[in-house]
Amino acid sequence: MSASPRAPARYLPGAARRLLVLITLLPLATGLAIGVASAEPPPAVAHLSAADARRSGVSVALLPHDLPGARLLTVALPAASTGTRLLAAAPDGSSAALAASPFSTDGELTIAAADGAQLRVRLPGVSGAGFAPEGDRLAVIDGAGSVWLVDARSGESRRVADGPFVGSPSFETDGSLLVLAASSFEAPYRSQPVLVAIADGTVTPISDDELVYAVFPLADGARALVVHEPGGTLVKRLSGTDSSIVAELGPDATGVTVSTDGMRVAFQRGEGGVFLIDRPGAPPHRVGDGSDPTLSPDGNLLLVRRGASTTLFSADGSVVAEYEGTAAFIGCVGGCLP
Amino acid sequence: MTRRLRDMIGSVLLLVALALLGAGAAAAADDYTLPFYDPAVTLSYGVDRDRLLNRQLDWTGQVWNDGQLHYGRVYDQHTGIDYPMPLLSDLAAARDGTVIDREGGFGTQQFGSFGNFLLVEHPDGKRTLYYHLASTADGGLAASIGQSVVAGQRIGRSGCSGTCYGAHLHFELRVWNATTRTWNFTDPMAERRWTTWPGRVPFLATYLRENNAGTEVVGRSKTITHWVEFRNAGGRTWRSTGLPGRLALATWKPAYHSSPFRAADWSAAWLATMVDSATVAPDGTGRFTFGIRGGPVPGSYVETFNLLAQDLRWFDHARLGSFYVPIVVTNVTQ
Repeated sequence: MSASPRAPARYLPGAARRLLVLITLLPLATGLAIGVASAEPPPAVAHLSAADARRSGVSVALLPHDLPGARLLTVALPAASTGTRLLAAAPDGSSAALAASPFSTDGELTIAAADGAQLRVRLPGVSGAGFAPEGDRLAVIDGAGSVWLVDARSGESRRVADGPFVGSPSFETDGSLLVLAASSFEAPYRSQPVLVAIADGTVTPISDDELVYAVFPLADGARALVVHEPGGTLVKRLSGTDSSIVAELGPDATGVTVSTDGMRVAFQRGEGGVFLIDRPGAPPHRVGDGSDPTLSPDGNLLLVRRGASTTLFSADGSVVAEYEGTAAFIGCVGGCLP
Repeated sequence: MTRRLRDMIGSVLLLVALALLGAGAAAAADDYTLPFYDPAVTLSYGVDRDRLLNRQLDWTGQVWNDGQLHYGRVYDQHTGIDYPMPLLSDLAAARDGTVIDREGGFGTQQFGSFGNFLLVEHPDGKRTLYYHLASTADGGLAASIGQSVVAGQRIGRSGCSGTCYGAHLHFELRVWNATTRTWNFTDPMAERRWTTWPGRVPFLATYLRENNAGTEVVGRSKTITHWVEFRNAGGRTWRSTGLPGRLALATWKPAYHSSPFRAADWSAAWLATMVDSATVAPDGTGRFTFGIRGGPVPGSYVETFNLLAQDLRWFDHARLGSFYVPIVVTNVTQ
């Protein structure tokens, strides 16, 4: 039925008129809410000098180690910091980003400097972080899945994009962040690698894969994707729009890490230990017990967490060193690409 | 007609229309049941039906503009329903379907961006996601890819893998959006997708009555008839035929033991009978009639029974009132 010219809007029944007003006002109210959200105050920052940190019993000691072909940063946490996790280390070893236990209520990102000073940034539930190549900024993902840019020296932060995002962001040479955009922060059944423009938060997908667990920049400009598929986990090489399978890891493979040349892959299989694939097509061989493997940039060394300590393996599976606490490779990991 | 009268009629018509819409929503019932067995489990956070950051729309229709957690209702950007439960609690398929994806490599309590899950596709084209499961090593996944599962079948165990702050199941209903060509979450609570309202666990019963709640006396080698009635307090309709799932009364303590009281009408030495009616809907009463034969030597005995969704799941015997039949076998033979 077409509208009757005899029934102009002013003769609408009162209830319908009220509904019309509501419909008109709702987008306005929503817009206001978004405006308020975007005008939120920046996260608070607390500065602790090295002396303050010592007095409070929260000192974090960063110690660099020069190894053949790699540099390592060991991070000694205070005894009372159960559950504190090392998220990322600056490429020059000058600082490290730490998150409180996910079960604590303080909800802070800690940026610990090599001189003992600390920044405590009020960003609850931080799940991942990555430093810029210069070590002066870092990108972090908060407990709501938003990605933030944080000044590593002042702690000043701004939200780059809402997300939800998951995983650990890395800086690209074009001024964007490489991160995973997820369907859900809590239960991401869908997660795709995207580039997020730091300037305006624009999100650009780079792959059609449905469920990507991790993405690693490779030295030649390509990227390695760790992709979950119903039959198991794959490592794919993505160069532009060309995609090829590097390794098929089978079911229950997690904690996958790829060397920056894209040749070596290490992973964890359930509680069955850590495995290493030496080259594309080679079968995996078991390195030993442990979890959370990390390959050095050249792929010749492997860090594996074993309880409260970290073990350094060579590619042939022999133990090179044991470290108390957590450790991370520094130098040209991810962000230091040409 | 005065303007005031027109306004009143308009308001009444609008209210009637809204009431009809509301009634339609309340009456809508789909074929999903709660994805676990413990009826004491209740949701902690439901779906946020609004996609705006810091604005939450819960399953009751209430809106918050605060981005805060609202226990029993919603948290911001939540795509499923969280059900807190002890670690390694059994989980059930919410509906018949086929397992199309799974992950079990993460530790049962391994915190991180990703966790263990099962994804089941249903005949109605929807999918259900069961997230934060225990690891494969801990029995978190009891169904393999391509396996058909029936509603109420045990498919895994709860855990706390992924972004998890306490053991719970994240249950998500996903629908295909043909326009965007993506799978999107939807809210089974707001859409009344359960077989009952509120939703129920698949298998649950309460004891009602027996023809003889006292001691049955039976002569040696003689058979008497006994019946017991239970209320279907779960979400799935009981049926007397078809495997898996037909509703049986079977021996208990220990399960499947051979009963010395097996009568000629028993299907097996452990299987006293199926439910008498072809079907018993939720809230209906199911009667189980079976013979008791004075098989053993004269004396006093107790035979214990439990309900069984055959090849699927034993019922919680305690919630049946720990059903048993005291039996005295006498020397009377005629």
